[in-house]
Amino acid sequence: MKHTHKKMTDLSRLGTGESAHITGIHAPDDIRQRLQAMGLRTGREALVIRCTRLGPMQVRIGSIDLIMRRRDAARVAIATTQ
Amino acid sequence: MKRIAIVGMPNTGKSTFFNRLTGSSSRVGNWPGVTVELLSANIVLGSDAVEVVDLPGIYDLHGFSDDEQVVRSFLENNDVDQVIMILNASQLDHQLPLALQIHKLGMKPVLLVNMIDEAEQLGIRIDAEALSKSLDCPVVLTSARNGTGLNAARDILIDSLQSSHKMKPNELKAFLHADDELVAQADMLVSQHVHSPSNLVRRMTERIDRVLLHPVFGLPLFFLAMFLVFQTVYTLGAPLQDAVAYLLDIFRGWALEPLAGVLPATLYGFLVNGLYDGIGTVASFVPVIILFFFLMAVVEDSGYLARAAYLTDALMARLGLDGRGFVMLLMGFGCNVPALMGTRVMRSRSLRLLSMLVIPFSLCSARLQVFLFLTTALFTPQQAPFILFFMYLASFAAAFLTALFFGRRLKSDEPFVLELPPYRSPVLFQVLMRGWHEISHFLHRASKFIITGVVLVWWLTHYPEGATPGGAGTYASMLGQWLQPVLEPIGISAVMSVVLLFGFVAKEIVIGAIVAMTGLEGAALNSYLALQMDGVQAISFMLFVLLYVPCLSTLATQLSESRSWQFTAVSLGWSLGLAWVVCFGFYQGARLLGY
Repeated sequence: MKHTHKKMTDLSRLGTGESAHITGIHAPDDIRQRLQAMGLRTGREALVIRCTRLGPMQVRIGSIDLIMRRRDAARVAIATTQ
Repeated sequence: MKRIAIVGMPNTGKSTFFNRLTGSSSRVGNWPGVTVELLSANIVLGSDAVEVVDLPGIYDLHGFSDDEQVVRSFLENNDVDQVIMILNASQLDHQLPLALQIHKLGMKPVLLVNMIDEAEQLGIRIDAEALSKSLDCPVVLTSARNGTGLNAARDILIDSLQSSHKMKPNELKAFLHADDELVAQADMLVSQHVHSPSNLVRRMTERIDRVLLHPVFGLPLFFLAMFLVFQTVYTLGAPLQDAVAYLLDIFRGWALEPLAGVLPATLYGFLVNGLYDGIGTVASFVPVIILFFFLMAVVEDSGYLARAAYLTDALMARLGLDGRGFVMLLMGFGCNVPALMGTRVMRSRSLRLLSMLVIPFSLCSARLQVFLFLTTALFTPQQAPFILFFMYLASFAAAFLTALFFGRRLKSDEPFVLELPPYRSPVLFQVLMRGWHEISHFLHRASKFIITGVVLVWWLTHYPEGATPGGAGTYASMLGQWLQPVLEPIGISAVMSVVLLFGFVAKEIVIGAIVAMTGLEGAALNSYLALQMDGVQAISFMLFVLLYVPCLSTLATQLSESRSWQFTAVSLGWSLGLAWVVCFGFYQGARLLGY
């Protein structure tokens, strides 16, 4: 029997090519508002296109590609299916 | 007169549409409730005279950045007959919530689903008619790039203006909580009316990004690209510059000199050696500037600037800035004023202020003129490019030093999240329009300041009566003497300090002033300048011009954008102080070393 369980973590932990569903944003109201307006909304799938150790990450959410710092990606809670 | 407002997210082709709709008649202006200038144009639609206003691109109507506040207070304080919203056809899932926000405000928008050509290439199909029915507002599929659907859009606008009445938006804050509902509604609309392949693959963009955003080669390639832009400006610009100078010279010999020859000597000197030569020398740099702005517009339109932000963010983060700040520095190479305005996208005030402190050190095109002129006059053709390159390095160094110094005081928690648009080949029309806007802005400013400046400098260097023109005893030399205690230690002579006084207003005046002051041009002027200053003094002078103050317009923009006298004063004081200290160190150091 195959077990699937969800693991909660944040977007900055994902590596290139990995994807997960967004479960929420942990940030002050105004910053959350901004991140949501740019497409980081609960329920959407985020796919990491590119990430390096120092620079920002490139994340694809549906039809939009975003570049964001790890610090900000860490504000995005995700659930990965394993 | 009726009024149309254009809204939309960034990267939707909003300004291309605005330019298509209005032609070249646009101008910047002030609006009630809005502290910044907006682009607008008066056009005729059907039987109506209509004013079209282009609002800044925003992601959200109730966000907290200055841009978002501008759009909000514009809509609250100005009567609008019709709102046009531009959407990116391949991102409807992402963009429809904003359209629904506007709809909910009670301002039934005309929706232009733009970039339809790009969406179709990706395999996206949109049922515009059904979407229009569900939304209860007109929907037109357009491509502002190649003109598809623009006539249909125009007809619909004419129609809707016939029956329009002034819209007053409902209370904006009242529906803040309804966001999730709007997103769900947008998702439903997209699933019903948009057919989209399961994953959108932009093969070309991904292939290019694999190279240009490469973890190792990305940054070197970026610097190479920038180097090529400047190299192109330099190699293509120089012959153009010579051509303009040649034409001006011919006109002088054939028409001006014989005609003005009948005038008294003083008036002749003023008109020909002062005004005409002064303005002419400045004008000969205009082709270089035009070329520069065209190339900047190409880089901007291609989508590469967002990549530059990605590549430089790690470095900028250490300075307390972010990748957008670096892009603004690059924009500042054209002109500092629009670069300062570009910081409006930042939400955090401290990050905005820090960026606005740094931008004035960008070596703008007006300062480039001065350096091109002086390096050609005073250095060998082999040395000149290196000196110019050194000035660009100094410009970056001053910017970074400023960020390091003030960064601790102006900390921010601003998120760095930026849309990465696909690469697009720049459209000639759009590049020309962008270039044209920049050039007319430049010429307007330049002509206003240069003429006044040149006249004043000529008067200061030729009066009181009886003084040797440009020599001791003139008002200019008195002013210069007065400044000597400060400027002598950094190697700037009395005569050249007067020029600096005028450069405070606009750097375009500097060259015109040197010409008007001496009444010389060409080789004679070069040898005069070589007498005024040696190589070390010339570099010190150029460093001072680079750092001491950008120009009056930049200061005014800093004041209007920051709305703080204190901030503007700190910025001015810092740059004056930095300029003096750097030049003192350089000049005295070089002299100590025996140069």
